[in-house]
Amino acid sequence: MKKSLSATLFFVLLHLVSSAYAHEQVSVDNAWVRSAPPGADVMAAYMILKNESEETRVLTKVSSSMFNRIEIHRTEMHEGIMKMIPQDSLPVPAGSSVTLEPGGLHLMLIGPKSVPKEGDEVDLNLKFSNGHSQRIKVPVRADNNKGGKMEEHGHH
Amino acid sequence: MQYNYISSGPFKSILVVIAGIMLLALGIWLGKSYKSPVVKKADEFPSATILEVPVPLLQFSLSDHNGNLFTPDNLMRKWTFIFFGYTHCPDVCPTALVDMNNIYHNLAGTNELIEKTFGVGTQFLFITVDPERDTVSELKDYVPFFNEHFIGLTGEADMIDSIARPLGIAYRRVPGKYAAKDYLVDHSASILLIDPLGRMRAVFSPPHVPKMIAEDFRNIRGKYTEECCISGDEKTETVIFDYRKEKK
Repeated sequence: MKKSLSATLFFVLLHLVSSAYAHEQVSVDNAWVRSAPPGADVMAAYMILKNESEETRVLTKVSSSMFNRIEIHRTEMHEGIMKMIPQDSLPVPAGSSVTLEPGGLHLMLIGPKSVPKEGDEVDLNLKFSNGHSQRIKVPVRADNNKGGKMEEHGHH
Repeated sequence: MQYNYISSGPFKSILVVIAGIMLLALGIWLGKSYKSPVVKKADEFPSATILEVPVPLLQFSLSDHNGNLFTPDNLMRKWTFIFFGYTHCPDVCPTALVDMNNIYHNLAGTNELIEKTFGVGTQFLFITVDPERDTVSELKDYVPFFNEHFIGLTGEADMIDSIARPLGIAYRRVPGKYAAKDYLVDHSASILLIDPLGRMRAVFSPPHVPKMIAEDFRNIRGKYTEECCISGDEKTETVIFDYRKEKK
């Protein structure tokens, strides 16, 4: 009983602290990692980065204990060919958001220590140029739809 | 003698003006009625580019992900979706395979994958553009993960090249940033549709909307299956023949 009370208190405090910071940092919405076959060497993570502060925040580095290396990439189509263009950093302008999504910006997760399965979570550490860093837990999903297999792509 | 009469005096300038107007009208009419004879993007099939003259696949021999031979015979009497990609591809290929899986489920949901329309079935292929790394066993680990009915194909690099190029699929290696073996492959990300005579009939360019592609596929199949599989004749060739005859 005591234990659960202190746990509740802890989370309330945590919540208060994190909401106090909410306007200072970049918030992460709708983050997910595309599930991959057990032998996969690479995976991709997608999310929406929202900057509610009054200055540009620049994502400079992403790391994870579960992958050897993480790169920021942008998929672009040139003359019908899909190219992956590595990005040194990813600026999120003040008061706006940047969407990482299939066929566009994404985090390329390279060399999984073991390939996480659908339903698992991937920990990511996002580092920004202002020295701030943020740990997030990202669910692994087959697709970015919550309603099952018969999805609809509504974002085009 | 009528010529001399018209080509002199005020008639001449009036005639030039009339001829000009007629030429302009002809130009507008031609411009409006002109359609590329080979490719058209019709409103009829919003997500597809239809090849009015289908492109035949050349003779080839590949290996499926179970090690079985796969030749043009395997394309006969089936509609075939093809995606060219590679397994070390983080974003585009898994996205396309998930899209193809959604197309599959859209069609399967209405029980349309079985051979009920003119006895013609439907299959989904993933052909690697990276045969050096994508061996039969790699493909076996990769392709069925997205859908157990999908077929992964690999083979000699020259063979894959000779299949891909005529279909407008281009690809090239990009060296890895840290290690040579970590190279990426830039490649076309279109989903191709092959008709039951083994000819490319339509191209679905990205971004892919599975529901729209499934709907277009239903309509394409409805329109072209009979033409290619019942009559057997090339209708488009007949059109070209008639056109030449008219010209004479």
